[in-house]
Amino acid sequence: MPAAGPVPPLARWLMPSIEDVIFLCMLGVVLSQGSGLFGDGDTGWHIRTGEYILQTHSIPRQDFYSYTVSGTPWVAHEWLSEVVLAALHRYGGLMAVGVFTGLVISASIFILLRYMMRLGLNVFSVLVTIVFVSMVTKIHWLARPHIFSFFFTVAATIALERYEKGEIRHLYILAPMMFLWTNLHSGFVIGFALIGVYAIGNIFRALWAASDAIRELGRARATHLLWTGGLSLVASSINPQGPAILLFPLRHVGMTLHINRISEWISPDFHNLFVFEVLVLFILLVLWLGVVRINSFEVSLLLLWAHLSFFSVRFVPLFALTQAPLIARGVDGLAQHVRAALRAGHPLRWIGDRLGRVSHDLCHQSREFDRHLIAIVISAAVLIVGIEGGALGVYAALSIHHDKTAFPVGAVDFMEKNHFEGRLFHTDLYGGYLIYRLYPRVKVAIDGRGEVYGRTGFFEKWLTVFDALPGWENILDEYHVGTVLWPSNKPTTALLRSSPEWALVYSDETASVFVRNDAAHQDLIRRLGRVSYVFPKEKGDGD
Amino acid sequence: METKVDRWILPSLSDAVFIALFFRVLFLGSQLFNDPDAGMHIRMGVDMLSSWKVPRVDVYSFTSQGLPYLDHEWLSQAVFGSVYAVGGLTAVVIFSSLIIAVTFALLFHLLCREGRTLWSALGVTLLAIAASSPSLSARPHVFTILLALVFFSIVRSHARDRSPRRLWVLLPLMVLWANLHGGFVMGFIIVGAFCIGAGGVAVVGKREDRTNARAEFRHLAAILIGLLVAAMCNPWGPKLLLFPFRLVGQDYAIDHIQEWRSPDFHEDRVTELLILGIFLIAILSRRLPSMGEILCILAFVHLSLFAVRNVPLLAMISSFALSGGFEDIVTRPIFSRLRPVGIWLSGKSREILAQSERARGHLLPVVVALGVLTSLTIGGGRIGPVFGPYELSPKRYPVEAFAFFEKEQLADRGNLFHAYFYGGYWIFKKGADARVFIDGRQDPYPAQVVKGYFKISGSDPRWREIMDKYRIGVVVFQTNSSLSALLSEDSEWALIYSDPVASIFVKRTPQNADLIAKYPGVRLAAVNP
Repeated sequence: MPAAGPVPPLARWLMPSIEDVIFLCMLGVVLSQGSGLFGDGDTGWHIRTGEYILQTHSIPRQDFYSYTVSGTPWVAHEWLSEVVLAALHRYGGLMAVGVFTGLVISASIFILLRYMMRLGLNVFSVLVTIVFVSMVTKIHWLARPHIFSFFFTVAATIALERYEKGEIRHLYILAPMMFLWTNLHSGFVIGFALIGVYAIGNIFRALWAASDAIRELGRARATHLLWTGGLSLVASSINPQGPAILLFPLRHVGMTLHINRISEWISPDFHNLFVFEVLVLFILLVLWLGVVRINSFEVSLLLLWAHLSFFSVRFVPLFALTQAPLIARGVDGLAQHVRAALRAGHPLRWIGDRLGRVSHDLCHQSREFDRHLIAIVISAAVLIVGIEGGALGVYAALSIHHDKTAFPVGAVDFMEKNHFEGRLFHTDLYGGYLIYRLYPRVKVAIDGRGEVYGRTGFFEKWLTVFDALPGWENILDEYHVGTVLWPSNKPTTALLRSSPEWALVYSDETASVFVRNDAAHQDLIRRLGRVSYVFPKEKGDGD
Repeated sequence: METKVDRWILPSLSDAVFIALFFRVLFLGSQLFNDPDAGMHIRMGVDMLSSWKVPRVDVYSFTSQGLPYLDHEWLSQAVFGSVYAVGGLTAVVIFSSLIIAVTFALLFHLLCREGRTLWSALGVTLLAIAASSPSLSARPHVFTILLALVFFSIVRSHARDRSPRRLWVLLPLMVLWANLHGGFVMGFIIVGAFCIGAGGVAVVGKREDRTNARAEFRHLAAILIGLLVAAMCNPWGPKLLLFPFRLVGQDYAIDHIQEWRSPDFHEDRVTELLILGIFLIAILSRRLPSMGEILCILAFVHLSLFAVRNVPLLAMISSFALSGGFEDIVTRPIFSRLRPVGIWLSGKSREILAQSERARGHLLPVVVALGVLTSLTIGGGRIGPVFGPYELSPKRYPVEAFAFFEKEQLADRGNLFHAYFYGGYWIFKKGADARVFIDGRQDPYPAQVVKGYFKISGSDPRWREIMDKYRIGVVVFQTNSSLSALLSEDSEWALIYSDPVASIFVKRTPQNADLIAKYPGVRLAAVNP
C-alpha cells in the first residue's frame, strides 16, 4: 500500500529504495569475486602507465615496456582510466582498485535498474532480468578500463532512448560524455554507433514517414542528433592522439590474426555461455509471439548488438546490458499474457496479482525515497575500507589480490630473489603482471597491448612459440632470449622440458622457469640447481 | 501448343535446381571427403557387406578392441560400402551429390508448393545451401539433413490442416532414420516442439484455438509414442535410444571436436546472416508461424549455436518462416515505392511457376543421373573431362606418409598414435588391420581414451605417461603441430619421415635402432603457412 500522507524529508534521505538495495547487493556480489577481478593481466600495465603519467605529467607516446617492439609508436589513449587506477593503487593498492571496479559495475547496473523501473515495469520482471544480465556480464567483471564502457554504453543508450521519448535535455550530456569516454576507454566508438543509429533512423523518418508531422519531427531530431554527433566528434578529438583516435577502432578490427586469436575477440563459445544463449532465445521468442513490440531504433540496436556479440565475446556483456529493458518488457508481457489466459481464482493468477501489488508499492516507495543517502554512505565506506587495504582496524574485511593459480606469483618471487637478468619470454597474460611486478627492472616480450605487437608483426612470431609449432626455437634465438617463464600446463613447457637446450630452474603448479643451457648461463644453473617439474593439478584427471 | 511429350521432356524449376546443384557438388568432388570419417564409413560398409554382419564390437582400434560398439549408422555404411564396391570413390561422390541435390531441390519444391514466389524460394534455398556447405560431405549426416526436412515438412503440414493420416508416414521414416544415422533424435525434437507448441496453445492460447490445439496435441503425442517404438526397430533395440544422451554426455569430446564446437562467426558469416534473418522476420513479419514452428526454430537455433554441425538443419527448418517472413516484410508500407517492381516480379514468378507446374515428367534429372553413371562406367572413374577422378586429398590426408608406413611395416613397431582425422583414413586403407588409436566414431571409445588423445596431441605435461600407458611405438602426426615439434626435440623419439602434411616418429628402442639408423638426420619438413 502507498504510504499515507507526505513522506517526511528526512525519510527521503534515510530510507533505502529498492534500487539502493539492489545496488548494494550487486556491490557485494562483485566484490565477492575477489581475485577474480584481477583475472586479466592488463590491469598491471594500466596501473604502471597511470603511475608514469602521474610522475611525468606526460602521456607515453612510444613503447617502453618491451624489448621486442621497444620504441614503436604507442599512445596511451586510455590514459584517464590509467590515471584513476594508478591514483587508487597509490593509496590503497589492488584492494582500492578492486573496490572501485565493483562500484563502477554496480553503478552501471543501478542506472539500468532505475531506467527500467521508470518505464513502469513490474519490479519482479526487472529483478529477474537484472539477475540474468548480471550473470552474463560477470564474464568481464575485471579491473580494466572497459568497465567504463559498461557504464557509458548503458548511460548513452538511456539518454538516446529518453531523447527519443521527447526529453531533449538528455541529449546535452552526450558530447561531454563522449569526451570522457574517449579518454577512458577505446569502446567510445559504441557511443558514435548509438548516435548514428538514432540519427539515421530519424533521417529515414524525415524522408519517408507517412505524415507531414512525423516527417517534421524526424527532420528536427535528425538535426539535433547530427549536431550532437558533430559536437561529440569534436569532444572526442580532445585526447592525446587528437582526431586520429577516431580511426583506432578501425585499425584494431583490421588486425585479423590478432582478432582471431585473442580470447576476448573470438566468437562466443556457447558450450560455456548458457545464460547468454537463454537471453538470445528469450528475446527471439517474445518478439515472435508479439509479446513485445519494438520500434525501428530498437530493431537496429538489437541487430547491431546481436552481430557484435556473435562476432566477439567481449561484446556479450554489452548485449545483455543494452537489451535488458527489452528482456524485462518480455518477462513482464509474457507474465501478463499467461495471467490473462488463466481463469479467475487460479493459484498462479492469485500469486501474479499479489506480486503486482507488491511491485506497485515498491515502485511508489522508490520514487519517494529518491535521495539514495544510504547507498552513497555505504559505497563511500566500502571505498575507504578498500583504500585502507581492505581492513577495518585490525580485522581483514576484504581480500583482493592476484590469483596464484592464474599468475606466476611464486615464479616471479623466485626470479626477484635470484636477481634474474637478461631477456625474458612469456605469455601475453603474464606480460601485464610482469610489468606490474618488475617494471622498470625487467622488460617484457609481450603484453595485452595487441595493437602494438600486432602492428609490428611480433604477435605472429610469438604465436609460433605459444602454439609450440616447429620453428619455435628460432624465435627465441632471434630475440636472444635467456629465460622463459611459461604456464606449467602449456605445450611450450613440454617442449622446453624435452629440449636439451633449456634447463628447468623453477616449477610450481602455475608456472615454470627455464634458462638457456649455454655457457653464459652455466653459473646460474649450477647455483640454482636443476629442479623437478611440478605437474599441475587437474580436476577429474584420470590419467 | 504444349503436348504431353513436352511435359515429360521440359524440366520443372525443381529439376533445374536439382541438376545445377548436382553438377555443382560433383565439381566440388573430393571436398566431400574432407570429413575425416568418410573413409571409415566406406570401409565399415565394405566389411559389413563381405561378412553380412553388423559389427557389435570394435575391431578397428587397439584402444577399444573388443569393446561393445553400437554402430548406429550401420545402414548408411552399408549403403556407402555398396556404392563404393560398384564404382569406387567416384560412385560415392555421385551418390552423395544425388542425396544433397535431392535435399535442396525438395526444399525449393516445397517452398514453391506453399505459394512462395520464385525469388524468395530461390533466395532462401541458396541461403540454405550456403549455410550448409561446410557440413556437406560423403557421410551419413547427409541423410539426417534430408530426413529432417521431410519430417519438418510433414509435421508442419499437419499443424496447418490437422489431418492425422499423413503423420503415420513418419513411423516407417523413423525406422529408416534410426538405422541410417544417430541424428534420428532430431525427428523427436521436431515432433516434440510441435507437440509442446500445441499443448501451450491448448492451455494459454486464444480460446477459439484451444479445441484444435488439443486435437493436434493428442495426434502428436500419439505419434511421439509411435516414433519411440519405430526407433527401436534396429539391431540394438531400445539401447539405441540412449545413444544420443551418451554422446552429449561426453563433455570432453564435445568440447574438443571441431564439428561439435560453436560456430566461429569470424569465418561463418552465412550462419550469422541466417540467425539475424530469423531475428528480423520475428520482429517485422506479421505472418506468425504456429507456436510449434516457432519452438522448433528456437530449438534448432540453440542446437546450431551449440554445435556447428547442426547449422544445415537450422537452414532447412527456418526456410519456410524466412521466405514467408521476407515476402511479408517487402509488402510493408515502407517499401511502397518499390511496389511496381514487386508487382512485376511476382507476376513473372507466377508465370514461370505456372510453366514449371506443367512439367511433370522429371525426365531430365533422370537422364542426367543416368548419363553421369554411364560416363563413370566408360570413363574409368572420371566423368567427362571436367569431373573426377576423386580421391582423398594428399594435401589433407597423410597419403605419402601412409605409403612409407606400409613400406617399412611400421605396424610391427608398436602401437600407433596419430592425428584424430587420420584414424578414418587408416581404417579406409587397412580395414580391421588399422589398429588405430582413435577415429571419428565417438561411441566405442571410453572417455579416458578420448581425453588421452587430446592430452597427447596437445602436448599436455603428462603426454609421456599416457604414451607409455598405451605402449605407443609409432606416431604419425601433422608436421605443423606442437606434438611434432615436441617429439622432434625429445630424446626418446626419432623422426624417420617428414613431408609437409605428416611426419612419422618411432620410439628409440633397441628394436628400432636399425630403422633409425636407416633414416638419419631427418628434419621436420617446411610447411606452407
